[in-house]
Amino acid sequence: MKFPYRPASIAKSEAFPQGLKLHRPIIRVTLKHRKQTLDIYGVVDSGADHCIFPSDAAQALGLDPKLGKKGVMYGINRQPTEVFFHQIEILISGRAIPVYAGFSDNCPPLLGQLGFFENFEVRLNFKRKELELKTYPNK
Amino acid sequence: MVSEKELAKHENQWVALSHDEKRIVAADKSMSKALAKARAKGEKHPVMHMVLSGAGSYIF
Repeated sequence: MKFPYRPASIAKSEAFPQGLKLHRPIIRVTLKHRKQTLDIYGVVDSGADHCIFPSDAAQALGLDPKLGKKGVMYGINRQPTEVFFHQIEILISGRAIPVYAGFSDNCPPLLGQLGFFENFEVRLNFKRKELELKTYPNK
Repeated sequence: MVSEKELAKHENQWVALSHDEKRIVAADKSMSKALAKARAKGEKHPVMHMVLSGAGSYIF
């Protein structure tokens, strides 16, 4: 399964006087809980420990985010943020994978190590601006 | 597919794309509100996309 990166532009700054044009590995997935589904774009983020989605996504799946199992997540500023974990499924190109996903306020959707990378061999191709997912044998 | 230029008009917002991703159905700072607006317009299965600010780079 191959997915094109999505383009992005960054405004001019002292560091980048011409601004920046770049591409990010962002792919469309479907979140599923029971009969509720939500299509959403998520950043493929090898630096994220878990798959994390905004709390609103949990609500869209019929879940009360605050009734999940509470954990703590640290971002770049090392400030702790509460995360509530729920068992859901993530559908990617027709394949359903069970994921213990975190939900937190104001976070972008992230596809991280546990739940995503553990289920797919992920090949990031900067030059082609695409990522390729392969399923592991016996998964 | 909606262009980057079109999406950029909704910086720092959630956009609800049509299921075929050919158009923007709704947008709002709140994902729930963008989703509700899209469904109110008849889009049963919108695709939610958070349009990041172009003011700076990101480390997620």
